[in-house]
Amino acid sequence: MTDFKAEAERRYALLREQMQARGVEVLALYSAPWKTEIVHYVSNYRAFGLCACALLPLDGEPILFVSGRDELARAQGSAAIADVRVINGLDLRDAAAAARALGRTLAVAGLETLNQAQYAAFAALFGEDNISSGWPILDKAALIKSPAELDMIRASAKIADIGELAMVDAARVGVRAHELAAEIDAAMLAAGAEDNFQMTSTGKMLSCLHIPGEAALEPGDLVLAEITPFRGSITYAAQRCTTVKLGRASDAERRCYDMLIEALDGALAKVKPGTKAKEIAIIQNEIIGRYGYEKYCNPPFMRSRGHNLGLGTIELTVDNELELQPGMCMVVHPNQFTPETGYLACGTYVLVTETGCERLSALPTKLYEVEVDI
Amino acid sequence: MSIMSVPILVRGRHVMDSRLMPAEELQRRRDAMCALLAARELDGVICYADSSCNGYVEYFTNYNCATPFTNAILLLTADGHCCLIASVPPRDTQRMREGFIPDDVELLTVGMSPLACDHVGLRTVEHMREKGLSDKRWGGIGLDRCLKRAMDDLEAALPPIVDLTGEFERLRAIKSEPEIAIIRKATTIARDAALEALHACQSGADECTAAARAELLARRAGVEDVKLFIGTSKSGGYLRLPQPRRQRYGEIVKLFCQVQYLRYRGLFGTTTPIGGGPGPGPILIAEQLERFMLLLDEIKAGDPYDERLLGSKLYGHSAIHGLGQDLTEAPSAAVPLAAYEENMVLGVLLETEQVIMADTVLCTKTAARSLCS
Repeated sequence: MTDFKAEAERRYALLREQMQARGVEVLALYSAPWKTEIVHYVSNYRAFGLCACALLPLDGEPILFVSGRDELARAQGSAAIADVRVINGLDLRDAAAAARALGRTLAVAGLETLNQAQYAAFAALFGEDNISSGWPILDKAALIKSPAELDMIRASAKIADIGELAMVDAARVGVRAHELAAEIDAAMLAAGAEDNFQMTSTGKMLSCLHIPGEAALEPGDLVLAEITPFRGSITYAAQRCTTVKLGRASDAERRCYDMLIEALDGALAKVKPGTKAKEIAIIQNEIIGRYGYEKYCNPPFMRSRGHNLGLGTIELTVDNELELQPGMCMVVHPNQFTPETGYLACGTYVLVTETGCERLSALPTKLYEVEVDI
Repeated sequence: MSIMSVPILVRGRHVMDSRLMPAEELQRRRDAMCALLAARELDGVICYADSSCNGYVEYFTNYNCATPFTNAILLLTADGHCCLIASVPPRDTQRMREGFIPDDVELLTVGMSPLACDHVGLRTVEHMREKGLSDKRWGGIGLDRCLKRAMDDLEAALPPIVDLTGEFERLRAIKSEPEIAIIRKATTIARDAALEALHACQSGADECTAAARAELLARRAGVEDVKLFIGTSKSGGYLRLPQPRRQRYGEIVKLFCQVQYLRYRGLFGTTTPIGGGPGPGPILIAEQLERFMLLLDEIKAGDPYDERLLGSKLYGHSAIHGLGQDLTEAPSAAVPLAAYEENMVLGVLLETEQVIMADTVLCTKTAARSLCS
């Protein structure tokens, strides 16, 4: 995000509104190495150290703590927070002391990822009764995307399209799954992605998506991928779920993929403000069920009917009462196993608008078939 | 050097086969640990791992928390028995068993979710109670990384745990021949990727193009993970991920690449001026290279370990630390062993605002030597 200042003020206001409502005087945002989006939300800084912690008081400027002095220069160069301090390794005692100086009640976003000593550092100064999880505060603030955030997500969607086309281009007999994944990643890096949450499965009668392995592509194989590029934070990612067939698809594969497209279209037709998240999941199951696959609409034959990425949780499950609102973003993916075809991937990222939804990908959703020389 | 190459996101390649460490090598490591347990009069050791510290469990089992929010606990008892409790998707359990975890490692799996990866603590305690292990004397490795709730469960169920992280770090700091061979390959790929990026650094060229070229070269060479960092003299000099910005004539570009290959790390860093010709760039780089070679000459087996003194005395910012399955291992600022020893593998970095030199080196009796030249 090039001009983070205005966006930061908007976010701080949202967070403070929630803090006030919950009687929280200081919000600590803690990122383990695998949860960097938490600190990124308030700082525009992606941590590469052992951890990072930002403090947001009800009044006054935020403080950013980074792990290791090598992180300091990067944080000072990239973070939107002026007050950057260094901690040693995982030691949060200085951050806890700074937090205590800012207030008496604390919420920690990332509380469940603290180690024992980190929690003890906060508990010693605040008392356990004055510490709560800050996740609800952060997650609610991040649920509706701002215009600046949507710009980032739209950029990711364009890059995901580039990744998908690279995948179709590179899917050839003899190419190994991890080599195919490398081609996708390289194309998207060249287009400006910083990272990619990618699952790639290849073979026949696949059961799920996973990290790419060694298998070389053979005629008749299916290639499945979830492509999820982003810059800065996974909260600004967009996802495509894609299936490529090496050779001509069988009748069963065509029929089942058409069914998934129908489920996707049916779900997207329902996406609009006021619709409950569960309705988007249920319609997908209903459509797939009509084709005789009702009993496959549960794990392990499918995993999820859709979700957000990063912060601002949206889960498309059959019991989620969450009402959709304009500005929410999510992937809708009727990814599904059938006994005739194995697992198939089909999905796209959408934005909830005032009147319905907008597909953020410019590509059509289809079962790709690539020619195979035999 | 705190830049990390943890698999923050799922990408790259997942090696689950016999190219990983053979069972005999794993047994040798377990025997060494059991000897340590006997010396400390302990009945077993609890090792913790997640994607930021895989080595604590991987060293004995080949098991790797490949997905960011998964974690694992290994129980290694003094009789050599291993029990691995890991949060993995059920679909991967069979693949793990067939693919790379030795047959003699007992495997227990629990579910996984991004916000609740502390189930391994509860399952570990259950297992210990079932097997009558909860009243034994336990040591711990890497438990300072363990999630609070899991650690609370362990502490509530067990007598005080003796921290063995330092002893373990000393044990794995000396690399075996197979380990050195893998790290040599990793370093060679890191160097080749950095040089590939260097060739893409030209006036008007996009940094992202350099990143893509390095990525493709390293991934085609079979790495599981690769990260390229760039710093430029006209944007503060600090290392960061490549940005969609054009490189400018006359600026000096720092490139730092780290890879993971067959679960081992390798790193390499270099610097290039954009456009060549006269200017301060080539001279600064030549001077820094000379200092870097002098620095390597000063790292000898038997000399006291000092992570920063060598560099800071003469050369500006430097970092020297062990590396292997984890990017930062002992000796390091966190676990500063007394002295360098033969067959330690070290990451060495020498950096000013404009120039970086970094390499992965092998410590010998007479000097440290690059693993890729």
